[in-house]
Amino acid sequence: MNGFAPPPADPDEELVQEARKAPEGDLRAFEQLVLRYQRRVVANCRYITRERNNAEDLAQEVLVKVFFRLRGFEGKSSFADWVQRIKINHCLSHLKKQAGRSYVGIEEPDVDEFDQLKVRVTAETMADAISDQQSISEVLDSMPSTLRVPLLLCDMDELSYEEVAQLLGIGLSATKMRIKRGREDFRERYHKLQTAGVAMNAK
Amino acid sequence: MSDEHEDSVMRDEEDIDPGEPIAALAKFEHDTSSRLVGRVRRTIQRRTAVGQLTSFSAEVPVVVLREFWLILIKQLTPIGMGKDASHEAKTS
Repeated sequence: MNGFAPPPADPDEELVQEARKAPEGDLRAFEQLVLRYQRRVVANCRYITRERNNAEDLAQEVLVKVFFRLRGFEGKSSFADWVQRIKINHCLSHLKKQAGRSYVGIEEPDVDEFDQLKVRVTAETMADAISDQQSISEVLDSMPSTLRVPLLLCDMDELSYEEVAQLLGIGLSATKMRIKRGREDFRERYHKLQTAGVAMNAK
Repeated sequence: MSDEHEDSVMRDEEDIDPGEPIAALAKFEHDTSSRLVGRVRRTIQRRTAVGQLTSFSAEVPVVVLREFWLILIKQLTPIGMGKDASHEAKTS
């Protein structure tokens, strides 16, 4: 034995090959891949852009983009990583497009001061937070973009700090600081929401 | 405060510990409507059809011109020229 472990096999490899070799019009293999990844793609689109109503449209654009780029997929990384890269780039470019409209740039640290960007945790939202998933959703919605986006890229997409810094076009120290503040902010809001939820249930 | 300023403030802090990841986010997913797969399928089919139509409209004039040119050459070639040549070769 030479001591080198073989790289882990890509669990999607078979389906990806089938989808690539499928005759034109046969989308069965690709649809299996869509079913595998759609929930994750929608989650990213939903929470990076914070667009409740537009998340599925964005996810649809991402998945269509994946299909038309599939022939160019060389298999250097896993299919999941490749999809993730397309998805993140699409969401970030969508955010940039929105910059001229109502969006305040994620590079703008003073975003914390824009109260209108924060979804206030009200009694109604607390009452809605009946499940853990809803609690996380509420917390993410209430976080400012400067902290939410780096946090999601790091903890949801599991990118390294260097990759997050590169994608957002900010320094490594700034990235680490935002992630640190993001994690603290998330935990604090989550704890408050849970405590408030328990208090409401007790009444 | 700009990014450059933010960077310069933190440049000295070589070891910023961002803390433990939020475990709940690692597997976090969002419910999707059952129609999403259908919507993706229809968009792909529509774009494929548009692509085929576009390439067809670009190729058709070239194909028509080439066929027209071949017909013209065929018509201008004297009839039986090849036949006469082979006949002459046989008799000689």
